[in-house]
Amino acid sequence: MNKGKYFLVLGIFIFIITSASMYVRTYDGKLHLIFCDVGQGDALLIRTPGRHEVLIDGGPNTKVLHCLDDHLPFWDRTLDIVLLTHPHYDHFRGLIDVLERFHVLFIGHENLSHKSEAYSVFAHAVEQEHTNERILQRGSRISFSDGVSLEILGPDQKFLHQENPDGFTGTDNPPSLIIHLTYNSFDLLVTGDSDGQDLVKFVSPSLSPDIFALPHHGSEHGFTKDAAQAVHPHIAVVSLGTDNSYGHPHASVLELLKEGHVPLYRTDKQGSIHFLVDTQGRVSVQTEK
Amino acid sequence: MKGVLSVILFLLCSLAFRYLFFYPESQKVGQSVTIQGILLDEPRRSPYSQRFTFKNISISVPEYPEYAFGDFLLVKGVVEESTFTTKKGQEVTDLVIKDPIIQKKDQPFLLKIIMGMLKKVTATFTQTLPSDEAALLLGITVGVRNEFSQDLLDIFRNTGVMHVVAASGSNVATLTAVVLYFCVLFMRRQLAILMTGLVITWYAVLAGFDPPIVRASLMAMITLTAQLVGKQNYSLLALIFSAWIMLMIQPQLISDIGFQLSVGATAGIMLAKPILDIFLRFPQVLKDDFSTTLAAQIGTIPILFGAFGVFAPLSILINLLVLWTVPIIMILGLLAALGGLISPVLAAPFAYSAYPFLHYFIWIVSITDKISMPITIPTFNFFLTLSYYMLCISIIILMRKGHHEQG
Repeated sequence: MNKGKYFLVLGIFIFIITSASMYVRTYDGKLHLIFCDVGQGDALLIRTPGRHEVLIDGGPNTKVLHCLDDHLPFWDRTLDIVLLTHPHYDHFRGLIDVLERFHVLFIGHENLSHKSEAYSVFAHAVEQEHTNERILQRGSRISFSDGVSLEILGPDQKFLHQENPDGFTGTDNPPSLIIHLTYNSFDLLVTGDSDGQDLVKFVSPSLSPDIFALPHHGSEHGFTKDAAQAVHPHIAVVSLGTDNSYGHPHASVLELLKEGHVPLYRTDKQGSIHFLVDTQGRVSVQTEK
Repeated sequence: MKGVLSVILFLLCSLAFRYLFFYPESQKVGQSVTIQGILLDEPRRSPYSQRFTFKNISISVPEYPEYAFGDFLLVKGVVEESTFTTKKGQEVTDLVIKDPIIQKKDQPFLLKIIMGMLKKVTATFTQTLPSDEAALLLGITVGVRNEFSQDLLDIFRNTGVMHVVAASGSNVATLTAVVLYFCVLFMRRQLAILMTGLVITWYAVLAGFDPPIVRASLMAMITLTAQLVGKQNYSLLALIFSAWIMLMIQPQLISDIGFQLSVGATAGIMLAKPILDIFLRFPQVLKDDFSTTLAAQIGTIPILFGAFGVFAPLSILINLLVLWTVPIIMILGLLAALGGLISPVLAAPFAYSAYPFLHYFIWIVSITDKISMPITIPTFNFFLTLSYYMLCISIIILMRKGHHEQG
C-alpha cells in the first residue's frame, strides 16, 4: 500500500505541474494565431486575449485534433466559433472530428454545399451536434469584447449565387470566405482558396495586413500579380503538404513575395506556426520544426 | 503430474482434430463469393479511403460510408490475388475483393448492446480528454484501438509498450484482485467470488471480446472456480485450458497477434518470472515490475519480430517507467466508463484523475522513442521461433532443477 501512496502523490504532483504550466502558457493576455500543420489543407486556430477560440477550417484529416490538443488546455473542450471558408475536402474533413469531440457554439459558412458523401457526413455532424449555424457574407462581422474582431470581406451572396447557381460546388474552385481579423493596430487576412480575381474584387487596395494567409496553398491562381497589387503583406504564411503533388507553392508566388521582400512561413517546412501578438501589435513567432 | 500431462495431451489431440477436419475453408481466387459476418478488424483510414481485412480478405473502399469494428457485413465480389511490397521491403500476396458490394446488416442483439456501450464510452472519453490521452485511456481500459493516431501507434511499437495499450490480460488480473478485495469485505467468500465472476464477464463484454481479455477472463474464471470448489490453483493448466477453449471455438484465432502475445506473455510470466525473481538483484520496489516485464518479453520476442519486425531492447526500461500507471489508469478508466454509461458528467472526475497518468505515459514514450534504437529483423520464421521456445523451456527446466538441488 505504501507504493500506492507514493504513486498517488506523484500523480497529484504531475497533475498540478501540467495544469499550472498549461494555464500560464495559454492565458497570457496575447492574441495567438496557430497555423496548424495538417498536410495539404488549411486549419487556423485563433485564441483571443479574452479566452475565445475560433477555428478556421479543419484540414483534410484528423491532424487538426492534435493541433487543438497542443494549443488548448486539456480541460477546454469548447470552441466558440468554427468557420468554413468553402466546402472542399481539404478544408472541412477535419471538422467532422472536431464537431464530434468539441462543443462548438456556432459554425459560420458561406452557404454552399459540396456534392460528396464526405460533405453529407459533415452536414450531418453539424445537425446531430445541434450546432448553431450562421451564413456569412461580405459585411458580416463578429466582435469579441477583448477587441478582436473578424470581418468578412467577401464574397457576397449575389456573387456566390452567380458562380454556383444551384448552391453546390464540385471539383471547381468556388469563392472562399475572405476574413479580415483586427486587434488594435494588428491585422490578419485569411483567404481560403480564393483566386486572384476574388481578392482584387473584395479586398481594398490599401490593405497591408501584418500577416497574410496565402490563398490556395500557394497556387499560381491565388496570389497573382493583380492580387499582389491589392494586398501588401508584411508576413506571408502558406499551409501545405510536404512534396505535394500540386507543386505548391508555385514559383510565381514565391517570386512575387521575394519582389515585395515578404518573409514566408511554410507549414510543410516548419510544422505548425504559432504567432503571438501583444496589445501593442508586436508579433513574435514560434515554429514546430 | 501424470494426470496433468494426460490432460494436456488430450487437449492437444482434440485441437489437432479440430484443425484437420473442421478448419474453415479458405477462399479461392477467381471465385465469386458472398461473405457474411462480423467485422473483427479495425479499418485503417486515410483521406478518401479505408482498408480492412474481412474473413482473411483485404478490402479497400472509399472513406464513406464508414465501416467499424463490430459491424455486421454482407460482402459480395470476386476474390483476386494482389501482390504488394511492404514497408519492410517484403513482397506479400493478399487475397482481395476489388469494388465489392457491401451491405451493413442489423447486428445481433448482444453485439448491438456491446457496440452501443463501446460507442458511448468512446464518445465520453474523446469529448472529455485530448485525443492522444483519450485514445490511450480507451486502449488500456476497453481495448478500443481505432482512436490511436498512426504517429502514436508507431511510437508505442518502437518503444515496446504495444501490449499495454491494447487492453492486456493483466487488466483482468487487476480487476479480479480489486473486485475480490472489496467484495470479501462485505460478503461471504463464495458470494464474493461469484460477484467477481460477474464483473469480469461484464468487462469482457465491454472490451468487445478482445482475444487477450477473453483469454485472461477465462483463466480468471477457471482459477475462481477452482477456488470455489476448493481445488488447488494450477495456473499453467488454466492458461492451456483457456487457450484450448478459445481455439476450439474459433480456430482462426491462432493467427491473431493479440492472442499470440497474450498467451506468450502469460506463459513467460508463469514460467520465467519465478526464476528471474531468484536471480535478479534489484531494489524491491522495482523488482516485481522488472521481472514481470522481462519474463513477458522473453515469452513474446519471436511474436514481436514476426508481427512487427521490430524489437526494442530498451523497452524493458521504458516498461518499467510506465507500467506502474497502468492499473491506476485502468481502474479510473473503468469507473469513468461506468459513469459515462449513465452521464458524461459522472465520467469527467475519473477521466480527469486519470489524465496526469496518461499524460505522463505518453510523455515518457515520446521522449524515449527518440533513443529507443529498435532492432529490425525482416523475417523470423517458424523454425527459428520453435527452436527459440525449446531453448527457453530447456533453460527454465535446467535452472529450476539446479535451484531445487541447491535448496
